[in-house]
Formats: sequence, C-alpha cells, structure tokens
Amino acid sequence: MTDRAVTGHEYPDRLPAQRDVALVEVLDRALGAGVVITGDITLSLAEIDLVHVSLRLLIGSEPLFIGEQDQ
Amino acid sequence: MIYAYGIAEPSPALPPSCRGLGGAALRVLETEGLAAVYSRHRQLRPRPAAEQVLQHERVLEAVMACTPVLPMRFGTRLDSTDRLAAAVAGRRRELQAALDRVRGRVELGIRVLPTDPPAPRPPAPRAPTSGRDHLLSLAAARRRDERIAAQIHDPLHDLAVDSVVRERSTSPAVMVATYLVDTSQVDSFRRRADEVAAGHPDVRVVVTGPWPPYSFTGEGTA
Repeated sequence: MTDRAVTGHEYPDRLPAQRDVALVEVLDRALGAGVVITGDITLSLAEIDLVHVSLRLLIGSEPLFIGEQDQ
Repeated sequence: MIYAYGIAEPSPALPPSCRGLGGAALRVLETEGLAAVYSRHRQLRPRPAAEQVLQHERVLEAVMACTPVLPMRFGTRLDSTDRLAAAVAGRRRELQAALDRVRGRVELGIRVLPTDPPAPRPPAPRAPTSGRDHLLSLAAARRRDERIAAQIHDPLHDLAVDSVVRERSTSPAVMVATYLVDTSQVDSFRRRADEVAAGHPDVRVVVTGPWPPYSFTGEGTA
C-alpha cells in the first residue's frame, strides 16, 4: 500500500500530514535541484538548512495519511 | 528585478494565467527557441518560506500543463530581461537537450519511511555491550536498509527513463529517490510501487508527484 502525497496545486485542500510530506518534497526539489543560473541564487544556506531540519523532524514523527486515492 | 521560474518549450499557451511570487503577473521571454517564464518586481527577496516556494512550484505545474519545462531552482533573481536572455543563450544547447529529455515525461518521487511507530528491529542475540558491538549493530541496520532500498529502487528504476537516489539510510527516511517517467508509464509505475510496498510491510512507501522535472534538468549533481 502506498501513500500519495500531493503536488502544489492540491496542497491547500489536503490534510496536514499530506501537506507536510508535499512540502518536504517541494523544498527538496526547488531548493536542491533545478536549473541554476550561476551567481544569482541569493538564499542563505542557513535558512535552507533550518527549513530542512525542522521538516525532517516533522516527517519522522507525524503519521502519514493512508488510503486516499488521487483522482 | 526579474524572478525566473523555468525554461520552457515555446507555446501559445504561455504564460499560464496563475500569478507568480508576490502576486506578480507571469511573462515570457523567448530567446534562441526557448521560452523563459519570469515575473518583474520592484523589489523582491525570495525567501525559502513555504508559501513562496509553493508559489514557485505552482507556477511550474501550470507551465508543465502547457508545455515541457525545465524548472529553475528557487530564488533566481536577475537585474533585467537582458541578463536572463544572455544566461539562456549561453546555455542554449544543453537547455534544449534537457528539454528534449523531459518532453512527455514527469518526475515521480519515492520516499521510504519506517512504519509509525517504528517496527522493532530484529533483536540482537544480546544487547550491545561495547562501542564495537554498537557500531556493528548500526552497520547491520544500515545494510538492512540498503537492501530494502535496492529491492524497492530496482523494480521502479526499470519503469523509468532515469532516476536519482538522493539518500539511503538517512534517518528517518530509509530511502529517498526520484524517477523520470514517461507519462504513459505513470500508472504502471504506481502499480509497481504498490506491489513493491506490499512486499515490504516493515516500511511505508510514499509515492509523490507528478512533479516538474527539477531533478532531471542536466544540472551538475547538487
């Protein structure tokens, strides 16, 4: 049985546990991947690390929602 | 100031009607056969706060619904559209090749997590009594996680065009991986993930996406 997490558009309509997983997925991708135009990313590493750490702790403790099927 | 969301295949459906960061209108800059999607701002400080990153993601999902797109990393600010055009022109060949690679494909994520509450590990014959024993038991747990990861990753990788295993055995996740999958294979991929998950009741398998193909833009490994 797999759980389905959600993409950005569905985000507001889903339950908190699914949103938490989705947010980690979006952050992993948008902050850690994607095309980089050198020198123009202005994020501070400390900000990114803090977001990652807090959400990883959350994912470790929160039960995930099971059973809802995507349309 | 310009904020850039992604590099797409030109299409009359661009820009999508949704808004960008700060409610700004989305615009398109076509150059060298590529369409850069951007918004213009008097001032903007892109912070990795959830709402801003989600909006960046929503823009890309809207673009992806129209045309193949290479997501940009969050936070790309440039002084002007001239700078954006120059950056795109300078990498035209590789961007075009990357677009060709993701056309008709989506990114699907797999996150393998311990069950909640965590299933008890097979008990050691006796509790570790030394530093060495402790390290050996950690190593055994790690090997077990890596075995699970391979058993879950390999059958999914077979249905994908490409994949990136982001993490193995990093607490709390057992494995985090992402796959570039033909849209025609998405259902098969999900069915196979269900089958694989059924064979591993000791972990929870979360399938996420479809995502814009952040992990398959041809950018150097992060």
